[in-house]
Amino acid sequence: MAFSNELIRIYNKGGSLPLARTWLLAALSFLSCTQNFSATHKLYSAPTSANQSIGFVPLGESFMLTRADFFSNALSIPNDSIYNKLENLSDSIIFNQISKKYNTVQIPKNTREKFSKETQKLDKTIFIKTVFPEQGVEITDTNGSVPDYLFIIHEFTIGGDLDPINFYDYTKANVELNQKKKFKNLSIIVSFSLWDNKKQIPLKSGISDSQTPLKNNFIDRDIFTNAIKNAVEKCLEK
Amino acid sequence: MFGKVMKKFLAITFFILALQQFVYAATPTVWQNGEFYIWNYGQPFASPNDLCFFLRYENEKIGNPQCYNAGDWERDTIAANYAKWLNKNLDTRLAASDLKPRNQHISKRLGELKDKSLIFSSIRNDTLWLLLFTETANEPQKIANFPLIVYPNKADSTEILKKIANDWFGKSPQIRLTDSEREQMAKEPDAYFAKQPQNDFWFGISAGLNRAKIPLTPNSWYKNKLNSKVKNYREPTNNDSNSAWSFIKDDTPLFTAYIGGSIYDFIGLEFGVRYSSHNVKVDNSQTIYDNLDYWYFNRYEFMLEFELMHSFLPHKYVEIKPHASFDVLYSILSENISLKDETIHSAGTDYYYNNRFQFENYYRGVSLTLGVRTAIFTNYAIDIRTGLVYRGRSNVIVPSGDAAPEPTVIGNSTTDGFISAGLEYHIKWE
Repeated sequence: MAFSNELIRIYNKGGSLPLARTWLLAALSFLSCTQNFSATHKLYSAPTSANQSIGFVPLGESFMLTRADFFSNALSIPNDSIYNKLENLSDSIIFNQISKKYNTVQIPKNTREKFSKETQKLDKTIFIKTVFPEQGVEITDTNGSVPDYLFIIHEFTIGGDLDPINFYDYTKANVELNQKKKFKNLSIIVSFSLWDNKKQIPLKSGISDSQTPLKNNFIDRDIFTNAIKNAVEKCLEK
Repeated sequence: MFGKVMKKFLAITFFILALQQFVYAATPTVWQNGEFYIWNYGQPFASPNDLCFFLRYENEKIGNPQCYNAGDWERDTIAANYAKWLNKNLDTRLAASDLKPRNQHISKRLGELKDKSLIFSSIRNDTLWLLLFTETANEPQKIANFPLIVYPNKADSTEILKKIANDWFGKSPQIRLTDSEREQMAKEPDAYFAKQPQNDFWFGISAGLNRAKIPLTPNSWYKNKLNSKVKNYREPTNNDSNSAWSFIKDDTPLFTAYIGGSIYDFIGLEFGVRYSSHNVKVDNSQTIYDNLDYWYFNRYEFMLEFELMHSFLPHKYVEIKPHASFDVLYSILSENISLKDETIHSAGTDYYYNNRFQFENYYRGVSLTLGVRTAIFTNYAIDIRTGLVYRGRSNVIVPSGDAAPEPTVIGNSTTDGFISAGLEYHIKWE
């Protein structure tokens, strides 16, 4: 996994060489054979067409910020409001990012509270905590209409040098990581599902992570915004 | 060649096992005088009375089933949501496990079905779907679909009901249990843990047969011994006197009385006394035996067995215990001889009879025994054994080279096989 992280870093840096990128992608896809970070429903066929609507369920409880003090200093946001502000910021970035590709609608914020908490198996040792709507209940958006799909983020974790395998592989659950003062990467780990709102089945679930290299522990809103964009982009790619 | 046959055999075995698994998985329990509920989503496909009629029609043993509409399932809000969801997701591409209810409330209600059968019915895309739910699983146990193009009329529901009654409830039914009986069943330990290893004390008697020739061994090993006869042994003519079977008859009945004990159904000791009677193989062509009435040896063997065993419980009241033992024994031969009453004792005949061959006072021996003990109703057992026994005399003194050659010890190396069946009484405790 560390090796693949390294590859991701090189991938992000060396963007100018298309051939190198292709090779890296090939290598990455080969690596991903070893452990599966996504699961697909039997009835999942093609990506959604443009006229079908996707409802975005706001982050709410799924938003998690590790090292809140660090981010509070770096982004000069007061410590007591950092969760609130970053959560709203992330919400709007993710919503805009999905809107670029799909016909996206907003789901009311309190909808998530009615979802049932479960777990889903992605691979032999990889499980994610999920929040899914009830069977037989269609979720309405803020305008009262029913979108075809829902984009549900189960856990949205922001931190430094985080590895998704330590979060979702239960065999690695007891690995203790030392608290570092300096980070190499700004990490965002997202576990998500594409939910069929008409049939109430999870079409596709997965974990994706984005690692943005930091220089001298420096972070500003642009880097932060781009990192989130990058993470969402990876979800959509999957 | 052998590998190929083995492979074929294994493949067939696995196939049968797999098939068995499939059959077990495919047939949920059918209860006698059971209750059947039809849970309709949308238009009902058949009346409960019709279902009951066909259950009785297709399965005579099913008794007097009772069929109802599952009104409480239809009116339960969460169950209604699940029904709606099922209706949307019924698809031939999906397995039963894909149709699991996710809500705990439904799972709980399915668990509370006990011995009742719940049949979900729904029409989707001109196809009638029937799903069977029982308490055993949190997913449909059985799924069946009937395209309504094939069964267009209301009258065809009888065809469908016939098929369902036959496929799902055609097995011979089991008697329903009361709540307390179900509770008792749930508390009953696993058969493997039901019985603790036990300590055992037993006594028994057995009868069997004794024979020098061991099956599957060549005749030539025994020919000389078995054919030799006791002549006038003042002129020693026996080729080999090492085995007692050159002098006495080997093929006789055998009786044993024994007493033993074991711990943890694993290791035990047994003490036994074995009796057999052997006639002397006199050569009747010799005139000196004309006056002989009888001449035989009673053999008594005192044996101490060290026994290892393993216990199997194929049934509640039957225990099968294979065992293997190693025995050490003392073998004593006691002579019985008499002349005919009318014999006039003369110096000549008395001389002959008083100078006959003699066995040693005792022989030491070892025995290897295999057996199976089948215990019925805990206390009574039938024990079948077979084994090999060897008797000899330990020569501890090495004779010096210039000593006079000693005569061969009669019966110094005697081997036989035996088979016996015994009746035992066991006293067991944990």
